[in-house]
Amino acid sequence: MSSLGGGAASNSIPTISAAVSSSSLASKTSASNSSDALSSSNRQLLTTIQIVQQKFKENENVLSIFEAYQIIGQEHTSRILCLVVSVAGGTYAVFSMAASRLPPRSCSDLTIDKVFPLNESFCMGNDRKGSISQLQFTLKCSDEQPVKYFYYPLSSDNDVVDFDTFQAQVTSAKMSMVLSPSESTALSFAWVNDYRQIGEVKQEMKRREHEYIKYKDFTIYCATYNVNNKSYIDSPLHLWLAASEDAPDIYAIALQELDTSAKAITFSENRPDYMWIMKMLESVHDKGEYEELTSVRLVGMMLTVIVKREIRSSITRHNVKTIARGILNTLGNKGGVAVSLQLNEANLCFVNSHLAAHMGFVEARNEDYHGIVKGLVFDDELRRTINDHDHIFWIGDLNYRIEEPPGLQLPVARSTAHSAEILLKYDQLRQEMRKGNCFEGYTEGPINFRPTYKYDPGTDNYDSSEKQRAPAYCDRILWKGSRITQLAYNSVMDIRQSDHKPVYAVFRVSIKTRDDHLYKKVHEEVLKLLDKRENESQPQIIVEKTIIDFGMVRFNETVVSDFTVSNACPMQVGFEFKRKDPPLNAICEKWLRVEPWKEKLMIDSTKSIRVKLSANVDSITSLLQKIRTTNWKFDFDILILQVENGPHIFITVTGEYKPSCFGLSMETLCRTDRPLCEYDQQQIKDLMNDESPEFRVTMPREFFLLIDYLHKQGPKVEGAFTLDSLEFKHARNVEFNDIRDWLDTWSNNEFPGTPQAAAEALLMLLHLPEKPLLDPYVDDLLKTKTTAEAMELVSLLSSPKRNVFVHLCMFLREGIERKYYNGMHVATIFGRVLLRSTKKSDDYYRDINCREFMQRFISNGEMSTLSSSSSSASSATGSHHNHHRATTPVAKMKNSASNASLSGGSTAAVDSS
Amino acid sequence: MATTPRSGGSAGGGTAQRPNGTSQSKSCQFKLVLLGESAVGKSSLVLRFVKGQFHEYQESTIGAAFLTQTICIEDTVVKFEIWDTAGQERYHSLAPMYYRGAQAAIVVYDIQNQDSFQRAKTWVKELHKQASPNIVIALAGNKADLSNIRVVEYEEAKQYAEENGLLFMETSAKTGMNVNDIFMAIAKKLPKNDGANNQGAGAGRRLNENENNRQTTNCCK
Repeated sequence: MSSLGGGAASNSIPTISAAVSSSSLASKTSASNSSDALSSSNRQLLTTIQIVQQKFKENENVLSIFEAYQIIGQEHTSRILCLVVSVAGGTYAVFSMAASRLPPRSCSDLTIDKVFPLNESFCMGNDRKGSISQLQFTLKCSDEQPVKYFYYPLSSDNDVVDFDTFQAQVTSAKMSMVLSPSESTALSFAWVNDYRQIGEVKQEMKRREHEYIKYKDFTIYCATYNVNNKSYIDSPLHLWLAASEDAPDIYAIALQELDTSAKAITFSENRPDYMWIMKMLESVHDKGEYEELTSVRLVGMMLTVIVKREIRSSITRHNVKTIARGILNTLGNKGGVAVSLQLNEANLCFVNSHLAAHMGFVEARNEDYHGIVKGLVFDDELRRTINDHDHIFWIGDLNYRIEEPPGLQLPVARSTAHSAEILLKYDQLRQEMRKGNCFEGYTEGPINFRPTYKYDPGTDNYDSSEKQRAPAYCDRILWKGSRITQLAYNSVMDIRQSDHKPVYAVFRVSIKTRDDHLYKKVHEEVLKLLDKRENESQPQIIVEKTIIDFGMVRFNETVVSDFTVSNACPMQVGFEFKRKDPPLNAICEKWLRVEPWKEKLMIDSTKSIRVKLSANVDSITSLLQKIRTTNWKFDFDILILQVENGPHIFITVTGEYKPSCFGLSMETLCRTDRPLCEYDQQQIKDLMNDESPEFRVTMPREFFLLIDYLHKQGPKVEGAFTLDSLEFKHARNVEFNDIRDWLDTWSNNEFPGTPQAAAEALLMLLHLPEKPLLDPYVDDLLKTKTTAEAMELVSLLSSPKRNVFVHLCMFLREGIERKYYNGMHVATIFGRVLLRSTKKSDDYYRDINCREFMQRFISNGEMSTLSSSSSSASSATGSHHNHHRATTPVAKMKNSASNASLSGGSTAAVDSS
Repeated sequence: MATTPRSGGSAGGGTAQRPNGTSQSKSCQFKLVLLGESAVGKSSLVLRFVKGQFHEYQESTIGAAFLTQTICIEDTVVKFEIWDTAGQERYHSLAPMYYRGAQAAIVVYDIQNQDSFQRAKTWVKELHKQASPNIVIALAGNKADLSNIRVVEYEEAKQYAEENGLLFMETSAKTGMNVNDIFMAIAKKLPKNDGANNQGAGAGRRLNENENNRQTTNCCK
């Protein structure tokens, strides 16, 4: 409360009643307004407040509604908050509802998602610490975390009040309950539990309860007896418990002063007295078969509920509770015991109480009553109080006396000549009830029996002891709730053990009962309706296109396409691109970028999504792999646009990749018979999947062209093949694409770049294929100790790879010899390229290992080995060109490469000698 | 929401323990996916089952649509979360994302189209290999209203279904023939005591893991 503005609170006390009455007024006027406005369309349109009202039951009134957004983390979702009063309980609560569209058009658009009863712990705060907006507030209940909301100051809906009004109404509603005269009774918020933490099906079933609820009559037999510590032996209890014509369905039998010994009081005896229960079971109506449902005891008080066997299964829940109201409200010699049970759809409560004794203690008795009403809370899931039941029966030794008017000679009550009617004029309970001091809302039937206290035990005579206590109607049975008819209310004179006479009352109660057939029908309808609601409330997004066709896509060129997504529903909607399964584990393939990948769309808004595709050094390897392995028509990718809580939309990114030499294996390149620019995607795919050992040339023409160019540059190549060459800096410039075209067209023009760029292109040619040049012998080669050993493995490589390797080594060796490049650097980077690990577990030692391996091939003293292996390689392919003619490695290589390039369509290279 | 039996009374050990007066029925949730070649009538079957409608010119599904439908069988409320997937071959690679975690699948073919029946068989094979081992698969020979121009014989499909442990029905989304029945048959065959399936937002709930805040999803409503 303290956080609320004092001014608002004090000002608004009178306004709550106004709010209550004006709301019904307001809804009426707004209804007539809207019908005026729509009279032309001939359509009955409900106002928002009327729609919200439909979520509630008859006696629960929506006082005002307010639009807000609940803040959940970074997000906010729209809510309708409404202040609702339960007319029956006089208690208020704020409900938060999610709306599937705004403004709602029917109550099925609304789902209650939170309930804040305006109980003591309720707090509507506007602590704006850390708030993102001045327009932020919190609602808090009990120990729960405060729920954060914010609001827009303007609203389009006339039914919605502004924030200050809403806050004032909530504040004054809470104040009105605190200040209300009925403060003495516990405020019951049980009604809100119908809306709390239950699913939509339950909410909907509750709302349509009237469609499947029937009323079924049950006979309930209540009985009370203050046994005055006496044994039941020989008592004709059946006179007390079987006085009805028909066999009752339920017995609630209350005893008092079962054991008033100090020991029992001190140790709060709570074990039911089974001897008594046995006796009760023997004495109930003999036309029915009965069993004990439950018993509850506190010292002298015991309440036993006995039910007919055939209705046992209709009782779906029962709980018991005791409350002590003796000395210091802790001793159980006075107080109450109660049983709560659910019979079909109705909740019943039986209370047995023994209130304060003695003529003068009227107020103490009233206090005991209020103490029990307030303090007795069942430990069930709803923590029901006595008042949270549909039918309540209050039984017991209430101890109210007959207070005779002063001046009468003879005690009126003692005279059997006086009718009960006269005596009851002076009955304290009736007097107090009339004054509204106790048992508010309870009814007691007409009493046509003599006072039940105090008799000389064993007789029908009133107290003859010295005390000469005035007779009184101590033992009473009252009820509260609808559909209860009393059939009998009487005492039994012929049971004489005690100083009290036992009393019984028989009731016919119409119990809310579910018609299973109708229930099933409604249940199925509700399920259908909720499915429909769920299906129809799915947000929809309109995507401008589901196919993005990039047309011809070339290596190392980025293409971009934008498309729009629009919100097609009356709510804010989020979407994101869905992450694909591992191994991809991303929203799209490596060669694509999608931005933004996640977005929220406000109502009526549109956003643009950009898709970028680049087949470059980073992605070409996997792109070519995908082209090679796709069985069906190739698409670059299919994006999954996932609408939050809605459908998934597939967006296909398609087009055709224009092949380039980069990324193709040496084998594939050796199967080409014309420049790459003359191939299309499908032809290249076929070449990539060709596994025959036949090759059109011994060595790729593109490889040869680069080596040849570099070789001719002489010292100008300086600075090529450095440690950062694998960063492919040249390839990231547009100019590099001239080199690409030069290679892919087998151009006769001058090389369109620098020697350093050519060196990088050479590295790319070797690095970008799916498998490293020395595959599949990489690991085995790294284990070899000598060059000869390694060459044996190299000779097992496919001829294009073998030739490329041998000639590359000779070329590099010459460059190092002439000190064009740093031998260490060359060994390092070519080690990384040619022996690339497919396992991605490159460690430092492996790197060194690779370098050392390369060094063996490109440093001095290995010439002869290379030459001989080259010859064996050549002979292995069956080519007949003359290697021995060549005097230097490069000349020799050039020779064989040119042979290869000249060989054209023939697999056998032409001997140029 | 269990009852709270107290000492001192013969605790209610009765049979019908309905918490708070609600249905005593069990509630299960199952993810069901429809697979099959393009244009065999997957979306039409769902539309017929969920909304009781049929559109002669049903748009081709480009994506995956999600619908729910709840049915009662005996005492159990079975909520199907139906994923209707695009049938075009180009989307095939995405299918595992949708049948993964599904407790049931309907593989649909068109009785006038032999290829679609062959395709259905490959779907069944793929499901047996890659879907959850307990998946309940139903084979639906759709467009049964056109049985006079059928090319896939009823007996042939039936025999195939039996050999592969599939439920089988010829259906017609157009007339509604066997549409509810095939879903009912699946619901009956699904295990309803498996704890994992009985909680609302359980394993079957949608594909996206971060959709827990979905408003309309409540456990065991």
